[in-house]
Amino acid sequence: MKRYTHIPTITALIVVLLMAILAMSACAAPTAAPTSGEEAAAQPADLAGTSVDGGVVTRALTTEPSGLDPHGPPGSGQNVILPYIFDTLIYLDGDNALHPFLAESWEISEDGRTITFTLRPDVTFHDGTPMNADAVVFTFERFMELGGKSPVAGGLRNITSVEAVDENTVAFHFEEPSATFFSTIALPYAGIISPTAVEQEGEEFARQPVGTGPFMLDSWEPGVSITLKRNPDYNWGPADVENKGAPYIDAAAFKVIPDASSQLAAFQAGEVDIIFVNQPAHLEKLKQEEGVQLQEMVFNSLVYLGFNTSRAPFDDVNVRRALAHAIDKQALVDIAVGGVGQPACQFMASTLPGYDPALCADDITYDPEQAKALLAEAGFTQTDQGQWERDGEILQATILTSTRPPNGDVATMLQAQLAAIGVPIEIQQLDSRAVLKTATAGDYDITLWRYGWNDPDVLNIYLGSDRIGRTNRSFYSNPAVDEIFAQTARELDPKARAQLYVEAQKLLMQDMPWIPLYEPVNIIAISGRVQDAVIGPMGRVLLNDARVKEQN
Amino acid sequence: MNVPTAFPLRRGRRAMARPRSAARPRRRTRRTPSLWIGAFLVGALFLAALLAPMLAPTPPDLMQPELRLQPPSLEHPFGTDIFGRDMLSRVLYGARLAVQVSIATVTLAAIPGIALGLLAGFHHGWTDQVLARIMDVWMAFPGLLLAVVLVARLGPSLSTAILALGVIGAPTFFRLTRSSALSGSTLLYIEAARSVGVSNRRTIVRHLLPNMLSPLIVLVTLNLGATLLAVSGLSFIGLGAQPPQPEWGALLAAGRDYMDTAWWLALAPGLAITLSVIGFNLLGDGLRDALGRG
Repeated sequence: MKRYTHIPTITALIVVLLMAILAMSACAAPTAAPTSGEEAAAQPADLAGTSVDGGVVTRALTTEPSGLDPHGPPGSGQNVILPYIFDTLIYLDGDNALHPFLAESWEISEDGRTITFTLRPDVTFHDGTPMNADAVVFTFERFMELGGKSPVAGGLRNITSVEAVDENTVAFHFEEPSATFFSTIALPYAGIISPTAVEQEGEEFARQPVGTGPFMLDSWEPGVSITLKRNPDYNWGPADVENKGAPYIDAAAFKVIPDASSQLAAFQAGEVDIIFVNQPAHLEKLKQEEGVQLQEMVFNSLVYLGFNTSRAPFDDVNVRRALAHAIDKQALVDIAVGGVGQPACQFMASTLPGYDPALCADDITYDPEQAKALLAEAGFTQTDQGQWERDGEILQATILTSTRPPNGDVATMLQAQLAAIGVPIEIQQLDSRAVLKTATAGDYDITLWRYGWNDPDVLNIYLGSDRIGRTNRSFYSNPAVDEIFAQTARELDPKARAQLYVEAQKLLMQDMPWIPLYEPVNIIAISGRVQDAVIGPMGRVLLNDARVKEQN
Repeated sequence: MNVPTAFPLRRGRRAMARPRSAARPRRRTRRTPSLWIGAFLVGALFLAALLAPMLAPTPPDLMQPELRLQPPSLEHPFGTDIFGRDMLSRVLYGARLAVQVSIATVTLAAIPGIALGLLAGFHHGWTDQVLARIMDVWMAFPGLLLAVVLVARLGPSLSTAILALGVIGAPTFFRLTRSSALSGSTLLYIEAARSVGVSNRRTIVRHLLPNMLSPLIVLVTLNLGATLLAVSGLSFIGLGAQPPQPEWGALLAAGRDYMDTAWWLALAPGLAITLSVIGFNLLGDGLRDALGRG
């Protein structure tokens, strides 16, 4: 009896579906036809297909920012959007060269303890407040106060005071010279904020940010999109763009699409114009499409396998080095990463100062036999099942990593490579925030992680012993390395500073708190309808010059 | 539920336990092809699970990088993945996981659900009231969402997925058993059993429970399918199986990114999930028709 009732249900369902389809096409038809007709009539024929002012450029956003206060908690969403709304004192380009931005010029005192900036006199915030020395002092005092939540507190640590010398002059006073100061104030998190807006809005500033950038916040639909509109008064574009004035386009929109495949689908459907591509399969697909602009971005990033050096047996340098010998980085890149990257042979990303090709000669090579020999040296004996045992404990580990592709594939490949020498590996994939939390608490064996930073100070951030419990999640501590890091922080000469990092790396590569795996190639795909988008440093896409090509 | 018409004491104990005659179900099955299709699909699933080591051409985790991303061929009927692992082997071992996980989850849900349901339905009164209200509150939570929260709390793995889905599945079994027990315990043969001094436990286990087996079998069958789908769903969003486990949902998630370039990666696990769930549902529906309304 029961099955007969299915038939009317299914029929009803089909009927409803058909009606829905009919309704949709019926709605679409009358609205779509007249508008396109009107547009065609209004526009001179020769303008068709060329770029015009106005229009919207939409970028896909993987993670929606919790807020757009530069001094609030950092995140990838903030990193993308903040540079559109806020300008910084100086601009650090992709080759790590400094350029004037809101500051016209700057001077460093003889002893390196005072840096004086001369500000542009003609800059105003979105709310009309003039951008002057007081605003800069306000910004940095607030930044240092709230800095505990920010990843860049270190770069400002030595500041004793920020002083407004006159209307357009600001002096930063330091306890001792600070080498990371310039790269820090070029970060989006050091964007200059409007003091009047902060006073008026208080906590709400994170939802209604006011800066001096080429775009200002227009609307924010939580979980859906953030739309910025052009700042018509803009006249202080950074070094990398030609158009120093207001953007040509009307608006920049950011659509929250957490999933990479959905982002690709939205891109192909023309719903978004800019996506970040981190999967080989997606890249292959986009290469076949006509008109898509694929551009490589500099993120100074490195993917590494970080040990919890506070936990046995990974506190043993021989064990760490043994595991490093078991890893075939080339195969890892070719297979798990689909060739979209280069094997890494040192701790510093090749685009950062302190990278030295000569160091690669010291890198641990792929040699499974050597790996086994080192394990034997470390006191392990191989059991009948091929596993390694010391004091009754089997050598095994869990690799903790995020769910972001291609981490799962990379971890799977590492698992297979380590299994080949008899080390069983489990994989635990959590979302990025949970990984960081777990790793900071030291509740893990090995983590597969990636850094991307605009300064070689990144090694200090992740491996300096004064950062244990915060960003040094390897719990690595070597006084000799710390001593070099302390020197790098004071060294203002770029060449000498880079050399210090080379020295630090020599020690790190002996200790192997990390196994450097590969440098990912980061690709951004820009739709053919967007022209002259400029790729800036650290994955920024500058839209100051961008125009939208209207296609008929 | 059929009501035994004869005075129970005059019939043997077997007849008391199974008051339905055997002839009627058989006649019904002939009119329900869904039962046979379902039985075939579910049988195939169990066979694949059982014989995976024999049927699979390679171990499921064997990487052969030189054979990566091969389209389906005679050698690799379901193709190979980005590591050159044979997809047929992975899907077969995935069947193993699917069967194990589904059975474990349903067992975890059914045992406390049925036990508490019998208790509540048999004893009536405040035991029933308290248990039923707790279960009502429990059921008010959206099931899969609760599972997601639990897994997020406990860390993703297949065992936490089993635990979470088992916990949220219990009330379904409770409700069915309780209502059956409520109506069943007022029947004459139960009263008779009580009147001759059969202990409560024995009454429940020997007389009450067997009489509600057919609706329970239907519910278990339908639940196996639903669980399989839920586990795959959790694995699909990364909250279930961890690599390299060839769980179908995880395989499907991995294959999704290659839909245009390597369609076979998503097709095989997708079909496996679909056919298995359809199989359980058809079998469940068929059994319901064959065994009479529950």
